[in-house]
Amino acid sequence: MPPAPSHILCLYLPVASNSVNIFLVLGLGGGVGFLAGMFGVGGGFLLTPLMIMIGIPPTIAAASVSNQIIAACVSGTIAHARSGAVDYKMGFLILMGGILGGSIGVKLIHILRGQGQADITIMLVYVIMLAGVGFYMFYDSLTALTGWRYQPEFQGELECPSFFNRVLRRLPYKIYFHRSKITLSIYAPLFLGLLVGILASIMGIGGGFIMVPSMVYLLRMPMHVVVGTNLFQEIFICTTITIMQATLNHTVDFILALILLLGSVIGAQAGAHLSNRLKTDQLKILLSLIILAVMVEMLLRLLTKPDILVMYKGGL
Amino acid sequence: MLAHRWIIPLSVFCLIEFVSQGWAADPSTEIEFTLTPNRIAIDPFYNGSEITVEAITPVGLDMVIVCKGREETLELKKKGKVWGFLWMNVGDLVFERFPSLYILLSSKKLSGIAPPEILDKYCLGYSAVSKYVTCNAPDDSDRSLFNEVIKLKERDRLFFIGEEKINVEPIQDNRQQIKGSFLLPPKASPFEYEVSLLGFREGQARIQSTKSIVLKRGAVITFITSAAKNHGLLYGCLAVFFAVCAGLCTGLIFGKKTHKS
Repeated sequence: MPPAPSHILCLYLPVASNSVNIFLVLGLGGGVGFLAGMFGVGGGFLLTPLMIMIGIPPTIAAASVSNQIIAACVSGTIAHARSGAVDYKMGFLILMGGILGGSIGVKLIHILRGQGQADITIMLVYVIMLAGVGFYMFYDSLTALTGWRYQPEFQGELECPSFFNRVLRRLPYKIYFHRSKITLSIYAPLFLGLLVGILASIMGIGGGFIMVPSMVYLLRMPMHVVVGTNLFQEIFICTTITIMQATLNHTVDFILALILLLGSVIGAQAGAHLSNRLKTDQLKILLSLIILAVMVEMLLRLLTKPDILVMYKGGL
Repeated sequence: MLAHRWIIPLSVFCLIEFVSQGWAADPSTEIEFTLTPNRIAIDPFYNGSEITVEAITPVGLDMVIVCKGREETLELKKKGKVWGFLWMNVGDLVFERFPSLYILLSSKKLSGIAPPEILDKYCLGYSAVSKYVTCNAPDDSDRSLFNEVIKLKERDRLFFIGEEKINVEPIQDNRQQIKGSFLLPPKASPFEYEVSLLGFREGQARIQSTKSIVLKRGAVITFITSAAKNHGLLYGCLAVFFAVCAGLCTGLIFGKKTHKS
């Protein structure tokens, strides 16, 4: 006989048309919120697959998670803003580029879908990006932590600048970013936002896990400012996604988002507090390990035969 | 003379056999059964519902309970190898007349209840369901993916076959009491589900009765679903508003100033 259903711990999700265990969703939201507060990533790249694993349809999982990320980002931004770790000027410029990049990415994915190449492109871009960012970040943090390579805290000037940094220096319209303590052309954050916006819209995620390493390694921002700044700009990205998904696809499950955000806002605060206690390289190495773990999981999914050889259209 | 001695008994035997076969061949012979509950409202704490079927039938019948959902078009993506080593989505697959839900309980193994053609006639078992479903696949190999769809549905608990899951107890007057329970899963969409009770003897259906379970949304769930579907922009803005408020409130509650170490 089937087990009698328990009604005490479960909530029915009206849009997802399924029920979930409240404490399980609270726990997942709290865990991912903790990471969001700690590393300044929205956590969508972790939370969406987790929601799918507990039986939420993928389209609804992605849309509802974007709604939840707003709360986590607002909570995290406030926590970081109190310690002066949000560069609003930089955030707005990256956001402008991100909106433009997002629009280009949507068009690009439309073309790829027409050619039947969208799925493979998304998966490969995802794995390559995760592997590149994860390995570089891990190597860089490990060498700094173990003392194999002396790396002074960046103060705005490099002794032997790379090609990218030489290009960066030659760009016009330089302004000083007080919070980040760097002088940069306004084109640099705009271009970075554009690039990450394209990738994020292709991969269907907020882009925090690409944006954070990019701000650290390409714009040379201090890690503690990167975290708060990324959370700040993700508020606007996720607000746009939530409203668009609710209006066009009707896939935002408010009840699911509500449970997730209850867990995540608390987790984000705890994460932000711990973030302030950890050293920059410790933060970076932890984030790189999470990124690499997600990359390995995706790679295994690509290389091993799935248990079920069909899936619902629009699902994972 | 010897032949004439057998005419009357033979005629009587044929008449009895004809009448009994005529009764037995009529599967529409109905029997009363109870279905508990038969009206279910989806409230905010709904997590599926356990349905119990009880009946008193003539002794010796092999019983089958079937619960079926609406026949729908099922759009899927099939997975296959790309470049010889990457498992990706490789094409679309559409099944027509696929039941949204199919739950079957039987008092013994289906193969021991009736021959395959009778099981097909009453759509009992996955093999029978596969014959009702149509697939618009470009080649026959895609039709073999039916079993994969069954796995997908079983994962969601929307498909289930429980053989020897009906409890049968003989009672007085050559009758038996039967009882079977199944879970109407939370993923089952609001609909009027058909529950059939069938009794078989010697591979033929002797009794068949049908009732329905009405699954519908309660007031709260109807309100939220309606808002999400019919007032998407307002719903989206409210969702954002609540998220921002939740974030702000938590920010204020955890209002202690932090310092970078």
